[in-house]
Order: sequence, then structure tokens, then C-alpha cells
Amino acid sequence: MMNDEQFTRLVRRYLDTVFRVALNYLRNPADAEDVSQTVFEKLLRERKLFESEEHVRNWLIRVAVNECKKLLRSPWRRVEPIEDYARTLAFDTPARSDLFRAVMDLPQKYRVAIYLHYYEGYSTKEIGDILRIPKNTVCSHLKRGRDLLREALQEADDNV
Amino acid sequence: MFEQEYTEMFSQITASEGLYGRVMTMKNEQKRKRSSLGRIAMAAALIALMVISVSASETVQNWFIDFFAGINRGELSQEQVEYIEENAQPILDSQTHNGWTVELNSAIRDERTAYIIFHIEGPEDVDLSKWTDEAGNLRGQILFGNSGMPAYLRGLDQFFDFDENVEHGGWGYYWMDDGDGKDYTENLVFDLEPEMMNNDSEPFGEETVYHFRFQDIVWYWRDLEYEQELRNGKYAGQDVTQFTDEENRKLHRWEILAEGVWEFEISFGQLEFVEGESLEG
Repeated sequence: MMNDEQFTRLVRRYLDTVFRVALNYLRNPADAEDVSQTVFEKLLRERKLFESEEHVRNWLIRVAVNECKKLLRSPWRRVEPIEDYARTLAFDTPARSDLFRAVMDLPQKYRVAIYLHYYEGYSTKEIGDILRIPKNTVCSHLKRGRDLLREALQEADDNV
Repeated sequence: MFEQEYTEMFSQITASEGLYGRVMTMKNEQKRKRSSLGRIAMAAALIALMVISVSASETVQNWFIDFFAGINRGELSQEQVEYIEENAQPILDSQTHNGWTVELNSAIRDERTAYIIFHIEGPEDVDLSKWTDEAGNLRGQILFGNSGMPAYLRGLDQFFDFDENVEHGGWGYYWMDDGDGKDYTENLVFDLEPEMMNNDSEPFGEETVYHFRFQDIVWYWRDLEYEQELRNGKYAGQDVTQFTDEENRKLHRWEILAEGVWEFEISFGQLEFVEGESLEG
């Protein structure tokens, strides 16, 4: 069982990561907060000895993905427009705000793969291990997701 | 270019201060909780002669804790957790037909409502977890029904008969993950809040028996593509949620997975409860 100092350090370091993974998965900030809380509750109860910083991060993301899957199967899901949340985010440029909306409009499987690859820096093989899908599927999700994003942003530009 | 824009955009999305606060104080909550768990462990040792094993009791407690955390949006008080740990009762009465086992697993009650968990186990090639499609839309669910008719389209008596002294009852049911990692097992949780004919009679007394009858296991789903087609075909000003009977029949689809009747009787008279205690809210 980890001590207070270790736990606090891991919260400071990884809570944002876990929240972003859950937000990408669920597209709902309230549910993403619930999942993040559950993940860190599990970390507190976890008796496993983590071998490295990388090991902890992978474990947290894997548990977050599992909790998101569980929540999607729950009959208690809240439905809240992502637009409401987007309005609360103070992006420094309109382009970033458009990008956020375009990302959130992507199908879930593309959102998560893109986040893990471009933000967290995971390789396609590592993403495959985390999401339990073949590496080639991850590659196609990344490509298809990027294409869809490009189209959406192009469309937004044209409309402007 | 895309990568840089993307990372800069997401670096502006962070967990809220409220979430940071809740997570940071968890360690203290955990310390408080451990003292009550110690008490439960001692009580469990004292009742080692009970027929039901301690591990079954723990599983049942954890399922009820997950269930009530779900309906209370994660806000279970320490008292509620202790109440569940002390009063959740394993029953473990099961029946199997056509490869499907339905187990009347456990029950708990508070002052007004009883909650019953049925544990469902299908053949190993069945995936009971297919709640959503790849885009995260709710796609379908397993239900019990007669002649292919999903249960939600039928009346209250689809699931159980009330005792003759019960005037009517509020009820609901929820599917929940049983956490065993197997796609072919799930929990079905019922809540019952009966109103009695006679105000003096006890809805959960020993003499009041509830009869559950599950007939046929049905996979139900909405045809989302057809629904979109219908919505696209509506004129401006038309209500996009109103469909004709014929359209509804095509929209709500179902398939019988197993025929059979699983019947159980339960009386709540043996269940301990605390007056004024509510497990919800």
C-alpha cells in the first residue's frame, strides 16, 4: 500500500492524464470525473508493486479505459451535450476551440487512439495493448481519425 | 503541425479543482474506512458457522456497494456502506434452462424498498456486455419477455406477482456489470417499493411472498440506422421522436436467445433493516 506522499505525487502527475483519457472515451466531463475518481480509489487499494513510472502510467490508463467501458454499459449514463462543456473551456484561440469540437465529434475509437498516440506519445503497439485491439487496427483508427479531423476542420474553415 | 496544435489544445484541458480536492482527500477517507472494515472482519469470524461462505457475502456486499454508488452518483455515505456490509444477505438459489442459469443471488432492504440481485449466466459464446456500438450509442440489451415481446412493452406482471395484500408497487430494474471479467455473466438488480392495501400490514413481513417469473431471454435492440432514416424523412416542424406503430415495430427489434421459465419466491422477513435508513439519496 502506498504512502501519502507517493499517492499525492501520482495524483499531481497523472490525474489530468486519466481525466483526459476518460473525457476522450466518454465525451462527458461529469462521467470522466467519476471515472478518474474511481481509478485513483483503485490505485489506493492496489497492492501491486509498480516497477517503474511507466508501469504506473500504463496501469492508470488501462484501468481508466476499463472503467469507461464499464460505465458505457451502465444503465445510469447521463447525456449532456459536449457543447456545454466546450463553452466552459477558455481556449486561447478560436482554432483550438474548433479543433476540440472536431475531436469530440469523432467516433470514440478514433478519439481514444489519437489521444494516446499524439498526446501521450504511445506507439501503435502500446495502444493496441492498452485497448486490447490489434496494432493494425490502431494504425487504421489513427489514419481514419486524422482524415476525418482534416475534413471537419476544412469544412469549418470553408464556413468561415 | 496537427500534432502541435492537438497537444497544445489538450494541454488546456485539465481536471477540475473539485476533482483534485476529492481525489487528494481519498487517502484520509481510506484510513477512516479501514477501521470499520476491521470490525466487519471480526464480526464475520464470529458467524463462521453460517452456511453461506464469507467470500460469497463479500461479493454480495461489493455488488450492492457498486449498485448504490451507481444510483447515488458515487455519493455513498460511510453509514450507507456500513449498512450494506452488515445487512446484504446472500441467497444463492439458482435454476438452469437451455444453458442459461438465473440465480436469485441476494437481497437487502431499507425502510421502504427491497433490492434483489439476480445473477445471470449465459452460454460462454454469448456476450451480455454489448450495450453500446463503436460510437458509444446505447444499442441494445438482454431482457426477459414472452413470445419475443420485450419486457418493457408489457405490464408490471411480466416479472412478478405481488402478494394479494399489496395494492401496487413502485419498481425498477437495472443491469450491472458483475466485475468477474466474463462477458456471459451479468447482474440484474430489482428494486421494489410496495404500497399495502392495509396500512397496518408489513410489505416485507415474513408472510408476504413475492413471486418472480422470468420467461424467455430476449436480445432487444433499436435499429439506429433505420431510426436515422426516419428522422431524415421528417418534414420541418414534425416531431422527430413520434413514429407510427409500423415504424416502431421496425425500430424496436428483438430475438429470443433462450426459451424457458425461471421462477423464484422470496420473502423479506429475515432481512434486518434500520428504521429511517434509506439506501438511495
